[in-house]
Amino acid sequence: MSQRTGKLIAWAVLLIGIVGQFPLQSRIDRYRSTFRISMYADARPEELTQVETKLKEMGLNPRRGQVLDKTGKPAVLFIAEVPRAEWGGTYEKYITAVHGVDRVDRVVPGLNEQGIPLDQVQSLNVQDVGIIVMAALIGGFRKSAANVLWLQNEENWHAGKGYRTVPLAKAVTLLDPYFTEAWVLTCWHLAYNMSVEAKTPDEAAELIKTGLDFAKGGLPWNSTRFELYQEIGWTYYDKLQNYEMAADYLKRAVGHPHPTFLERMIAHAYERIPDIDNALKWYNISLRKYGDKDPVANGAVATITERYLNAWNLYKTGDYKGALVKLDADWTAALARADRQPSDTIYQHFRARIFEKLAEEPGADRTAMYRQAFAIWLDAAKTNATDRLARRRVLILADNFPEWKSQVPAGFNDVGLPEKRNDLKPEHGSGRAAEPKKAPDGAEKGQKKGPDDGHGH
Amino acid sequence: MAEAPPSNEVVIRTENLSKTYRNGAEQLLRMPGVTALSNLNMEVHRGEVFALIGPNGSGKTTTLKLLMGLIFPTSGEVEVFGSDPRTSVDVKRRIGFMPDGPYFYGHLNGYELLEFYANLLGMDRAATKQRVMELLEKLEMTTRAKQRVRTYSKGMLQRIGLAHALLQNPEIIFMDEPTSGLDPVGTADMHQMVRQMKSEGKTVFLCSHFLTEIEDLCDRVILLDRGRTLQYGDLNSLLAEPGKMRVRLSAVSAAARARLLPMGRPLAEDQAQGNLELVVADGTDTHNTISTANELGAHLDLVAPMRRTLEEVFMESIARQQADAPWQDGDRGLAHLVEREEG
Amino acid sequence: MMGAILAIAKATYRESIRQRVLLVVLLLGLLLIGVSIAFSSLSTGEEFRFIVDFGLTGFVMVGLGLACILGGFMIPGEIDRRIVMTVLTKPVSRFQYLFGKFLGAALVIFIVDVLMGIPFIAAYMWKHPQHQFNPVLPLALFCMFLQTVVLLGAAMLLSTFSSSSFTVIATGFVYVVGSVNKYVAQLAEHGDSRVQKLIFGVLAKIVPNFQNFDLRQALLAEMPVDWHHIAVDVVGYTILFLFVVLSVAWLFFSEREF
Repeated sequence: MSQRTGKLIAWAVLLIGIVGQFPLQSRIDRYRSTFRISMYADARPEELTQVETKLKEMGLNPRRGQVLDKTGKPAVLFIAEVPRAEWGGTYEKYITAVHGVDRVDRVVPGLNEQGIPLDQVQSLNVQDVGIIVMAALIGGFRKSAANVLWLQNEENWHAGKGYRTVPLAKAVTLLDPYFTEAWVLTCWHLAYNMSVEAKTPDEAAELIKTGLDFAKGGLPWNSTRFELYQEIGWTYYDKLQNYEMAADYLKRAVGHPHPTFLERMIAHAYERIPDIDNALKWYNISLRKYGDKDPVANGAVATITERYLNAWNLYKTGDYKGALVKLDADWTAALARADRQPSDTIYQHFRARIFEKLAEEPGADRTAMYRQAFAIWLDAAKTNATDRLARRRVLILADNFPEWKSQVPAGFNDVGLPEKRNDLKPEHGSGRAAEPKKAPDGAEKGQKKGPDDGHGH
Repeated sequence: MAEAPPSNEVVIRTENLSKTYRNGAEQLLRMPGVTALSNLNMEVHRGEVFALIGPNGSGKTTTLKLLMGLIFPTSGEVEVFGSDPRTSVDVKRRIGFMPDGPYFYGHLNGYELLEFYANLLGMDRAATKQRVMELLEKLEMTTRAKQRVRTYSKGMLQRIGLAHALLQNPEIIFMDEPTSGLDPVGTADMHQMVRQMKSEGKTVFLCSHFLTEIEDLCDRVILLDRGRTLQYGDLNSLLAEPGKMRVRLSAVSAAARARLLPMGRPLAEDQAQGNLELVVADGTDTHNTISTANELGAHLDLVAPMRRTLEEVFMESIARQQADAPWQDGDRGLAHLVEREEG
Repeated sequence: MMGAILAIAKATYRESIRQRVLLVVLLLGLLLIGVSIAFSSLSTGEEFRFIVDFGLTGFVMVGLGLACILGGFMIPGEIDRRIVMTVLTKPVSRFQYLFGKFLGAALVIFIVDVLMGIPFIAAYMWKHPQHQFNPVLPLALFCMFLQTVVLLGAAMLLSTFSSSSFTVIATGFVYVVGSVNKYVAQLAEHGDSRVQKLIFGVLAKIVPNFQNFDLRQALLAEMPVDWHHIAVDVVGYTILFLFVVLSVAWLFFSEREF
């Protein structure tokens, strides 16, 4: 072979190499950009169809494959090719589309690592940006860089430099958005440690909100694990007493392998709203799942049934007066049976809610009814320092009836005020349109004036 | 040992072969670079021992590399067996190369090393084994076959280098400084091997700066200096000085010296010892010189036909060239500058 | 034709595998896997992720090291030691030499990857919640091998016309750009000036996209990967890229003087 032929061949091979890469790269990109949803092995056919339908509604054409679910059992996997323009994106709209479908295991927006959301970079300080640029430079080490950075976080924490946590966590999660622990711990740090050290209630509330927003920012990448849902749910439950939001997030958490107390926690959230139907439902789910030996759930089902269910059924039909009478009667009877004073949080919340409903009845003595509710909330808030739902109601009512303001103790507002201070309606659920609910058990259907008008139906 | 007479078949031919080294920047800027070889013209015949002679930096290795296609000519032509060695793999089947101070994979033992090169030649396992054992035996390396090449002495390395060159039973063997670093025994052995290869009809092309040893070995030579050809041709005719005799005298007194010196060209002298060597024309001049020496009591040690050593020829050639071009003094750096200007 | 290539590959393999620096690199990789096991216990709930991340990072680093060492020093080393002269004066074409060297080095990389792969898979299964074997594991490791081979090809190309130290630095650069190829392409699209667009555009096209070889996400999410995708698309991409680098390397190498 002469030198010239050799060179010609080399140039030809070079050309084939260069030109051939384009279609192959395109094929690789298409495959790596597929949107994937894996189901649990115990998913029912209708749930599978539900996912399929939702994806089709989004214009995707999923095909079924097989995968092992988190429990190690073979389950269905949906793989859908995504329009080219969306390749490499976060696929948030597809992820949101299947939110709330039961027995969804993992949602994977593609085999490529999620791109760093560049718009987040501006909110970081120079040092963090430096770290990110460095990490981006070393490319494949991004996740490991996140790991190492996170170890630094622990160090900061123990060295009393907790204020470094948030920027650091931003850097870490920017590098590796799948780092669940970083989202969870940072949310906890903001909502608990830093908010406690805050100088004003508004600042504390702001920190809790920041923590929650931060954690929610991690959901697109961590929607297939219970941890982040639980953290958000628990923060709503414990820090804001926003039980509806708490129940919402906790319900998403139980879609994935999780600790056994989560179902009970959902029930607790519901009974504090109070939403007796759902509370009972979740206690029963817990009993069914983990056996009926659970004394807490068993006790809760019994007490709720005897103390509140009757009143609740009247309340649902709009018979608030009847409900009030029944509630007081059942409660008195329960008190008589109990050998010691039971916790009256649920009773008080329920009772206050009934008065708030009565206040809004046509022809009712609005002020008198609200005064009743105000007194109950105030009492609940004074007896239980952690009952911030009660505190919030007190503050809201005091805002609407300024003459009661003098009764509100100083420093009562330790969580900041809700945004709509003049809105008398329960603030729960006002922003809660996203998640379609499973149809509640019959009774509520068609109830226009039921207590659920604030519950997002 | 009967030596096969060299034939007239030309196996290597160069025509105005020149090589200028340029580094990347020099290439880019079309700068002159360093000329390592200029206008080499030579023909090597089948069966002869041909030597490329010159000091370090004279272009020997450059020529060798050009002949084997390891580097490419800047201008001129090179042919080995009538083909361009740069592109013809077939040429490489017919040549063997023994590098200067062989550099090999040190972690292999002698046998494995030869086996590797045999594999490159496409020899099968049985043929490899047979050929390698044969060569190891021939070069008296059988006992060292299992020893790591790294631990070899210089002499052993040269032998394994030769064995590697002989693997494919080549028609031409290129040897780069075959005896450098060898002790006298090793050198003698190497000479013996060259003679043996010649007797087997192989063409031996060697480079050396050991002028004296080459004299005994080769048929034809090229003398190179700084890339230029000083002399080219049959060794005997290069060395011989027809019509001249060499007269060596000792115990020469000062008076005798004064009388004897004008009679011929002094080749060497040592006044303290009273030694004198003269080159005189044969016939009457020689006779007169001997008579005069006798008269003046000097001892006559040798009278022989004049045959220069290669070293003498080389020094003479350099001197002559400098006389022709006096600006080229002995300073090599300066000489190179001159060449660069020319290039 | 193949005989000489295989002989050179074998010799390259045998020589490289003896190098101490290779052993050091291998130990480094094993150390990273070891460290990932040790560290994972510090990071509750993230153990599994840690193993996958650090383990694969080990493969990437070892691969980068191997590509630099083998690609950067193999041929220049033989030129320095003048072994190349003894080989090229045998009936061996420069292409055969180049390709043989490449194959030998690729074999070394394969062996090292296997040696690291076994403990990695063991660590993976140990930390996996159900101690299950994941069929994506061998695919992911194979992709790491392919990525290293691509880097090796790039390093060999660089070494045919530059010094070893430059080759090492430039190979590192190729790795970095290849890993953030997506961003480079973005910069090319949204660049401020035409020059910037041109530079980044060319860079994104000539440097391989190493994201193609990264199955970390699939491993972490335990998503199945179609072996067909690997065997056809990824292997095809690798081969085509090697076509490019090796043919350019040959074009340089065929002009190279020793």
